[in-house]
Amino acid sequence: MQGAAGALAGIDVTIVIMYMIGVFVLGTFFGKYVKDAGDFFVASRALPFWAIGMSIVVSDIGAMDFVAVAGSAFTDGIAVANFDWIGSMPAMVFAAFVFVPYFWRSGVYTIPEWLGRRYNAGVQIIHAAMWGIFLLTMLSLMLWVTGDELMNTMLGWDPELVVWLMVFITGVYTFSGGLSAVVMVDVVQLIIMFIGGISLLVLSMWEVGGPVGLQEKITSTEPRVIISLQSEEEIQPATVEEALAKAGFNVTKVDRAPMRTDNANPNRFVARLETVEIDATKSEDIAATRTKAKELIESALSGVVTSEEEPEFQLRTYESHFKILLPHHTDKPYPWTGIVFGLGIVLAVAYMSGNQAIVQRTLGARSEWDAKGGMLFGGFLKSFIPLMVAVPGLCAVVLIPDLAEGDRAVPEMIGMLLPPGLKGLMFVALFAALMSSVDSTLSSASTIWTTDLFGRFYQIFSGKEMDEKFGLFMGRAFTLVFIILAGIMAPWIGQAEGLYVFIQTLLSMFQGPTLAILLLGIIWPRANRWGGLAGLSLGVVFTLTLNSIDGLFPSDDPFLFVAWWSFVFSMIVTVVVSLLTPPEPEEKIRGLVWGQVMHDGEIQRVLGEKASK
Amino acid sequence: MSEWINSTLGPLLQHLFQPIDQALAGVYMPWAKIVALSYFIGTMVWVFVGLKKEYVNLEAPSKHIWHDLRFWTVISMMPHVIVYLYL
Repeated sequence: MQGAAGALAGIDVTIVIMYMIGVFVLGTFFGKYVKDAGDFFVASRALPFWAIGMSIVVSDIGAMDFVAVAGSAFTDGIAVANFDWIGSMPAMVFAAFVFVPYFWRSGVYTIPEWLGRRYNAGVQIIHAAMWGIFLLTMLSLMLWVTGDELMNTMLGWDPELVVWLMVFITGVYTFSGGLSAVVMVDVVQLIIMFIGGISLLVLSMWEVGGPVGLQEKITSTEPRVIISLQSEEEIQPATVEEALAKAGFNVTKVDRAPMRTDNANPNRFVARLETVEIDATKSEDIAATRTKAKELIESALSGVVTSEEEPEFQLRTYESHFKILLPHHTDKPYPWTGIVFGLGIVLAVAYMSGNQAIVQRTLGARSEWDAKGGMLFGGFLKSFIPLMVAVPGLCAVVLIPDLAEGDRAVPEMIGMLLPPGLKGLMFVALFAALMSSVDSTLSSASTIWTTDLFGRFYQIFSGKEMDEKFGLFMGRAFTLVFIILAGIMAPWIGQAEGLYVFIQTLLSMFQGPTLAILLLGIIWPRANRWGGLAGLSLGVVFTLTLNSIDGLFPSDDPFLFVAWWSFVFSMIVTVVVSLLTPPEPEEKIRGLVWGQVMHDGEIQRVLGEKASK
Repeated sequence: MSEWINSTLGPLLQHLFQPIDQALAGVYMPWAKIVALSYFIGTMVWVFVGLKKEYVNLEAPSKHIWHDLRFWTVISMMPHVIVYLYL
């Protein structure tokens, strides 16, 4: 069987096999250095800044990002790069200088553990349970999505075979070497990912005539309407053309969309328009013109079929494909207000400071300078990611403009542009992106389950803390159980889309409130356990409320706005409840509040000794 | 549940959020660029001016400029400033 990217040549298969063996050997090599829980969870606190930075980037970028981000760039333009630019760099600077030093100095393994020290066990367990379940589900999902939607679609490989191959390789080296194995393998994987990504970028740009050629060609590309009609009869392109012409559009051509999969709808069309502007749509406001044009297209298509199901269509215009900031009222998914406030200030900071998979690397730093420097270096490297994942999507607008699904852009481009050898390297890059995300998620999930859930209950019931050897045993046990469980659950989770959406929605509800209590916990000594608990729980309820009310925000999927307002709400609740309840004893918050660490020499000395132990 | 929230809290929150939505919709787009650039530049200024040099570079391997994380911050953020200025 052959997928969209064509078959792999002998040299490509050799490269993929050599890569798999190399990663396996390198990862398991670090097993001999693991003697206790500290070695396993935080790499004996010996990681240099460059390894931390590289590992953060490659853990964050999954194989599906290559496909999904390129797809989004193909349909919505360069604005998707905001997630790696304004949605990363400032947040990583804040994480480096505000959050990381505190987590690092306090000697914790996880963020929930820090929250437990600063607030109470309730906050720790709620936060840990949410992340623990999310990471486990993500593990299954990323295995399946890559196996099925990437390797099966591109190469025609059996998805279950890909899943179990990944389970075996990543499972063995994560079990054996813990965080040090994960980080060192990530370093190699980042280099491979960059080589593969840059190859695709260079060849794509060559084909379109460089940056200037790309911009000129995209802005002169005719608008398109991708139409999907539900009908048992086969509808002719001429019928669709006639309906659109009647509605007042100058239609250049209507073709059937290329049928890429066996179950693709035969009544799917690509209509090229001269312009989306007709007398009824002309407006100063591009978004208003597009909205009006969409209404006209919808009514025109309703007349083509009598099916009860409404016609589906997607209007693609390219006038804003090179605009990084889009108006507040836009029918594209990234309005500037949501991007700056929701993404840049809340979601990105919450992600970079509150995501165990990211922060765990800095907790393994050999010094505080390396922890901070690792974050900054990671932010710098991350700036290049859109060039490798978004720009090829833009090039696809020029090279394969009639593609019905944006997510097919990268597979088609790989098949079309990369010669044997480079194609193998690109697939190795995709495997590297997948494996680095899997190993990081696995390592973080086992850390949270061992430290914050099992460890916390062990302490409650036995009255003592786990020792280092027992911690290592439990960490490895959770690693083994989770990776096997993820492999078994992968096909089921992959098909139960509703479950994944539910869990992701649930996690997104925590982002704003978690950031609020993290931030206040660090900068404001008066924040107390009751404030933290109320801020987190009521913040989540408020997020649920905002998500349930229709039409509150200008976007169909208003997660960026919901994140911002839930953050503001939780800040207010935490402040009010903290002021209405007694403050924490000074001894409890000693060394956990930013002002003290900045200005109190005695505390700095004690923290330095504590961190060096 | 969703219907109940829509009917009870919906109108109240609509009153709160709609004026904000309308105000933001009227913002002149160059202001969006200024806000985004201010976020990057403000972060750089905060690291350089707001934080003590000793805190930023605690445990640095040397006092050389290439180990000064304040400069790392600027070097990492300047490409972003250029991108948001021109795109």
